[in-house]
Amino acid sequence: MKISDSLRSGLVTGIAFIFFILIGIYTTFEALTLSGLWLTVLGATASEIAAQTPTLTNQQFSRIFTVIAALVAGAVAARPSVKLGQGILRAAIALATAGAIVAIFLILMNWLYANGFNVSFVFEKLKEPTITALLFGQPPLIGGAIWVVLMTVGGAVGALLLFGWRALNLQKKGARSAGPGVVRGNQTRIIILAVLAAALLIAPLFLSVYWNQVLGSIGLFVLLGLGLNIVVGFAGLLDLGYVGFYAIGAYTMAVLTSPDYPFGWGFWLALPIAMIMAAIAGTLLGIPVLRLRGDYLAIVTLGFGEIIRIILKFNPYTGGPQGILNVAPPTITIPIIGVTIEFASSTAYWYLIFFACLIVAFVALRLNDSRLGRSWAAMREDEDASEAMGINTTHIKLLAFGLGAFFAGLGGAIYASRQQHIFPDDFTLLVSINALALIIIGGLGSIPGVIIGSVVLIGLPEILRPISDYRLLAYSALLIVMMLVRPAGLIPASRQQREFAERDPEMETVETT
Amino acid sequence: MAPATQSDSSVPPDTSVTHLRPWHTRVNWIAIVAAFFVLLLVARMIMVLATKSYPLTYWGLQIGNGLTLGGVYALIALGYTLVYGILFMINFAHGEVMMFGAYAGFFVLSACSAAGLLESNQYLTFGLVFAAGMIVSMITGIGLERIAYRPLRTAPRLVPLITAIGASVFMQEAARLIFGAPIRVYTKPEFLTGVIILPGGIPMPKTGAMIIIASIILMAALYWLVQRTRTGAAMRAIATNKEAASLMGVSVDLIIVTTFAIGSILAGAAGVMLGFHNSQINSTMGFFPGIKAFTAAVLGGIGNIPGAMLGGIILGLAEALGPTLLDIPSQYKDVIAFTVLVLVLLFRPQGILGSDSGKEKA
Repeated sequence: MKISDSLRSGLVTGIAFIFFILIGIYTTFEALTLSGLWLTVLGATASEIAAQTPTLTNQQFSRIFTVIAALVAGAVAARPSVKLGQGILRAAIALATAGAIVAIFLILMNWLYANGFNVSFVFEKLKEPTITALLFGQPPLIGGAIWVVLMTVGGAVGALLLFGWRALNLQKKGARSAGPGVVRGNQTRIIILAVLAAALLIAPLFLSVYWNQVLGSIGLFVLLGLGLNIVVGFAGLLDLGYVGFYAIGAYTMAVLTSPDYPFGWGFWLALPIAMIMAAIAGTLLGIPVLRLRGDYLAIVTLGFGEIIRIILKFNPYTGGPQGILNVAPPTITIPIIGVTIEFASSTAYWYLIFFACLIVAFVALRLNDSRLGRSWAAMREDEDASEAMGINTTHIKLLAFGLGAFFAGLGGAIYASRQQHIFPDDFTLLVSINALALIIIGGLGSIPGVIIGSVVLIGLPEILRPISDYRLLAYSALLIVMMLVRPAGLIPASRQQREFAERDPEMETVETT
Repeated sequence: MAPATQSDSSVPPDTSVTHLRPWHTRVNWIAIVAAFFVLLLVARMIMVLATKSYPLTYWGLQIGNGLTLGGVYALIALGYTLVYGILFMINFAHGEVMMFGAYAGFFVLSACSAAGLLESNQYLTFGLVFAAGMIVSMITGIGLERIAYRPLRTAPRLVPLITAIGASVFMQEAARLIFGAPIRVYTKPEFLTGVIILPGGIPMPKTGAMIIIASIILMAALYWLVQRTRTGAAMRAIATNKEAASLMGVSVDLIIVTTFAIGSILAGAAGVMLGFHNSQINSTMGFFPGIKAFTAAVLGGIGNIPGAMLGGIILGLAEALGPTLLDIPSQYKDVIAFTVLVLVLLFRPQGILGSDSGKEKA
């Protein structure tokens, strides 16, 4: 066992904790008393959650976060060890180092404040009371010592948990290898999917307006993700300007249905037009980038997305920065009775989005297995080789851009109608990045992955309200970590899974040389 | 990073075989439509120039603005192009590296101003601010390479690109959370306030002149470093063939880190300059200059150092002069920048100064 490894992981952990302090995760940390040891903190927080509210407060969140971070750091530090005692020692040394680093940082900050430097001028979240609270209201040296002790204990517990989990896993593995493996049949999968669909159909009736809206947002991003998945996942064309087609769909819907414009069409009439407009724009913008590959394509499409947004923003016809108001909601007229139902509630919109998602998912699934889908895969893997095999890459690239934009237009049209007012700044690059992040986290090219990705990226932040300020930070960190740890995504598409599995041994040999 | 201008005499090899194909597939329709579009733009320019007349000083001012912008773009673009030349990846977070440099410069400037150094010795303060910006950017760039990019060096192309996008957003958000969302205001030293009057009565902000001079100096230093030193030779060797270079005893890891450090130092300088010129900075300041600078690098031929400088200046001039020449509102200047990029890529996918091998890389 090398002590320098532990010291290094301690250093990394310490810097990570200082980063957490700097970004203000502890801003609302009240002065913990000495009795607030790890387990008490956990227990108290758990009971508070149970007793008070279903959502977390900032303070509870920061406590849970600290505990989990220390446990994880301990487990990671102990990972190379096989023996329990050694692992705990490793974790303890690492986390004691981390605690010492945090303590030195806090003592330094405290000293700066004591000598009249205003640290919060540079680090906005480091107000003087925050530092005092982080030192547990004790004199700096004692406060620092508490940090070291608490972190060491946390690390040791983390290591214990790791070994417990390992032991459990071993047992499971033994049990699994003993009996015959359970193969989940196609039938069971269909039943699960049917139950899920039924739940998604019935549940919104009992959920509050808020949750219906969250579901709707997730659904819209599923739509967007499914469309982008065709372009990026199937055809391998990295399109960063995808939001432009979403915007075109939304604006077409708005212009055609808003009473401020001379058309005044209904939702259902405008919907196909919006989708076709987006598809035309997608194909047209696809033409000039046909010869570009990889990174060039990314930057040019990004430029196109920005151009569309800027034109919408500074063009008086589309309302300029104020956008367009009063977009019409969809109505359904039942033919014989002549009753007209207007989609007014978020529940109704949820059903609309749900069915749109079903249709698009079905189309995407069929596309992936079609001749076109296989051509896309061939082009994604090697453009020159696929062309030599007789695939018309021009044709299928344009089809990918057009189809992707078509579905983006659908999403945009529904979005415009649901919001009833749209602004050009709803369609920034961040939407593209969000959509890209969710398909990558779910697994490029995988349709269940898109759904899981949207639930994780769009749904989770709604539940974790206190971290809404950290939402983008968490997204981007997740994106980086996913790329480092599991580049194929949470639910990889079978083709990509094979690809990444093949690449692994190759990667190792390169790294060892 | 190969030396430029060897591409103009070579004929694309595939032109001799195209006779086997029917005539309508032999014609590059996209290029014809694009050429028509360019003609329209030129016609519009001539029309505008014929109907409206601006005084000479106005053009001088606009050209000065264009060169200023171009100098900043060129400095940032060099960072992209250096990294791309070696790793074939877009360091999307490069603009954020610049932003961290700008923040570091701001804090040093504030400290100097509080300590009274800004009044007593403004040149020393100016130097300290630059040094702080460059050092902090360098550290940020090296850290970024170590944490986010090095583990992915052998991964498929899309993976590091997505990581870079993630790193860009991450750094932006981290800066917003750490330093706070409100803008910070750079105080200009006295010798940078006001304008100088160039011959012909053309006014030019002193910060603009400073940017142009400083970027020329930095670019010259970079050119010397890449062409005349051992490190530069190692960088060029890796750009040509990574494996062969490592067999010749070049430490690939060290040179890649050095490349990131050099690019980040230039970005840090650009960040401080932008801070002095616009006198305000915030956490999103790096994003658009970053994208524009990447556009400039692609425009000039990515991986090509003189190309990045040329691309930056062309882009800066296009943005400054375009709205007047085409008589459209100046909010559309971003549209002009990207249109220039698309048009250049249509006719020369390898960029203005890019070699033909650039086509393969793209």
